[in-house]
Amino acid sequence: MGHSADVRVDIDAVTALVTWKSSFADEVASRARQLASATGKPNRVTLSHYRQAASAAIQSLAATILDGDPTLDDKAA
Amino acid sequence: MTTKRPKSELPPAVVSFADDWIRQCIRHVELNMVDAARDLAPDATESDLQAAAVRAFISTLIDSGMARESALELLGQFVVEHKSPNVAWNDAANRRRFALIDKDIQGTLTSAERIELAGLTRLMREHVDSEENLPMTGARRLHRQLMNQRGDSD
Repeated sequence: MGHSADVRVDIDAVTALVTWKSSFADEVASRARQLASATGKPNRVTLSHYRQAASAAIQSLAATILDGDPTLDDKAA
Repeated sequence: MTTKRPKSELPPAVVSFADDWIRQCIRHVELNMVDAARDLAPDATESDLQAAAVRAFISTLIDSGMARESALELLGQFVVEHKSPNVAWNDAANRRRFALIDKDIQGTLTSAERIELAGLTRLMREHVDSEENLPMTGARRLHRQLMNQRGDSD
């Protein structure tokens, strides 16, 4: 694995990415279970449910990412 | 070449609890890795990162409620099984465990050997606790005697 010590990534940024990934995954799993329940088979969650859930969760992920972005606050001010 | 799965067979699945647990585990490992990365030198090597990854994973297991000793034993069991797959408790494993205990007493046990010893101890405990090694004959006899005594006193 090649690496460069010249580029430094802020810990805040790395932590935020971990949190976003985790929030997205949690929401996909939760929505997928709701979809499975809605289709009358709550005990079987499929890839199709996950695909549908992921499409919807992307929207709220975008909102989560933008929420708390100080650059947007600067623009609004 | 593709192999077709019989129509009646369902695809492999995990229970939802496992799905939730895996996601939480990965999140914690990543956050623990980030914490460890704070202390890494700018010229950290891949070996430093590997060490940080192992620390992050063990910390995650301990954070999840696993006893430190159990985490060490599990790691040791993996090391022992990795060295010889399908390892079963036998005389050679027993001898090796005693040799490591001797080294521990002499104060010459290395860190790697300490982990191996923990793994061998776990394997031994699993072997001893396995159903085939339980003294069921004696237990059944005792149970019968107690039931007969109870029958006599009724």
